[in-house]
Amino acid sequence: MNEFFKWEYVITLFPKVLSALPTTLFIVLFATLIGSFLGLIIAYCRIERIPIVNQISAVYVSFIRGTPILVQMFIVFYGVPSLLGVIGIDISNWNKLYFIYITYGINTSAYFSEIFRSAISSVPASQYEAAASIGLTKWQTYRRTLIPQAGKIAFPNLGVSIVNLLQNTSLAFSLGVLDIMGKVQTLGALYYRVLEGYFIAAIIFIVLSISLEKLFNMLEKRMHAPKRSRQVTMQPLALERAEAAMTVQKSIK
Amino acid sequence: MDFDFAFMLEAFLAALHYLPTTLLLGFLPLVFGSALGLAIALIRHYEIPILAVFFKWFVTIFKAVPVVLILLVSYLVFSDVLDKIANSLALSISFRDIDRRSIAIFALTLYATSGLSEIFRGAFASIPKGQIDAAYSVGLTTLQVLRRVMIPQVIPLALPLVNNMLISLIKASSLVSMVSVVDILNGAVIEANVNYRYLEAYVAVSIIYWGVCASIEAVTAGYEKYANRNRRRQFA
Repeated sequence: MNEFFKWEYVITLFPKVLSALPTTLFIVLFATLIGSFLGLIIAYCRIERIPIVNQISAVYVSFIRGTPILVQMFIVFYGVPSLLGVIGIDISNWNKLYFIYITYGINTSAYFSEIFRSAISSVPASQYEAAASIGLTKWQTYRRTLIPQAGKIAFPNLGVSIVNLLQNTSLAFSLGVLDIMGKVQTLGALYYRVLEGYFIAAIIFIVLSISLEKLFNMLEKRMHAPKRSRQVTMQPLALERAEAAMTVQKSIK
Repeated sequence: MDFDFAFMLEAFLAALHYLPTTLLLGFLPLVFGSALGLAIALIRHYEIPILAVFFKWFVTIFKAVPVVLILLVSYLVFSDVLDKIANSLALSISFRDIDRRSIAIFALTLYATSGLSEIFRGAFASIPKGQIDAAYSVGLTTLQVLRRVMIPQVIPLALPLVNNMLISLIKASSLVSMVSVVDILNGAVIEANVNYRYLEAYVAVSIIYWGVCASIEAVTAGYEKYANRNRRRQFA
């Protein structure tokens, strides 16, 4: 390496590195989807204090939050095949990307579950009781009172968590996946230009993180803005319908 | 499925040997990062010209770049530039002599600084403006306000978040194997290189990390309980 940093390599390598961007974004997307699904289930189990499941999920969340994702990745990579091998499913020729999706999904689920749990438990208990008192079922209570309020509280934290997830995806290359960092490493071996590659990767990550952050801020603002359109006007109940309702009640009596 | 518990124990003990390295890589960046982060937070809080803008960009950039990237780039820059600078300044240090751990500490410090400065800045911003005005009105100087009004409130506010940062740093220190530092992860993997029982090694390492992080979290929870013990007596 005679010249330390050359701009022309930045220009030549940039499109090549950028071609790996979809892989990184897909990891983020799948991890977010798996994470929200599993996270909601875990949060529900912990809020409702379902016996055994509650304790298991507490340990699970603590474990995931207490170990580096690099270690989790290798545990999944070596552990899942041998676990499934016991049942007789052979996945030795799986694409490595699936292991990455699983790892990041599991990792995200733990963080999301904590966010959901704290958001849902920050809704005052009286809301839950009020919903129960007018006869809503548990599903209706969650669907119509708890989740809409908790969502607003959870949203900024989810945004931060997703930006973290994006930065964590930079570790996927240690399993040999060709995401942005993996591409940089391969190109570095090909062209003997590593620093330029890292520079490009840094720019891509900076742009992605900042734009994601901006996007979440914008959505959050919109979420908290007062609704202007579609003001619901209360129509007084038509007389005939009211009378009809009364007669129905009388006939039941 | 064959899971060799005996080997797991062996890897566990081998990895435990390197626990001081991991703790060093967690705590030293935290200490340096706290000092630098507090300075940056103060500069940004008092809006010192030029420096405030500079550090705003510094923090934005380092918050957006993954830790691996910081680590790899600093390793590369150190390995390339250090010898040249040392040569031109006629210093007798060369890249081969310096401890690889110091590069890792440098990189993790950059990461910690950006995160911690944001934590402290948030804590500074959460102090009501009225208190500072009140302190000025009784004739305290800026330094006195800082020392007697702001810092005593900032530290308890920031401590739980600083503890979270410590956990992140300890987890991030697992990446230093990429710059050929032997920490607990690398120590266990070296043990497994003999017989290819990587799963056992990784499980063993994960238990150590879990233990360390869970105990830090327990300390945080205990501290929070202690800090909130007479909450009710305060005027909220």
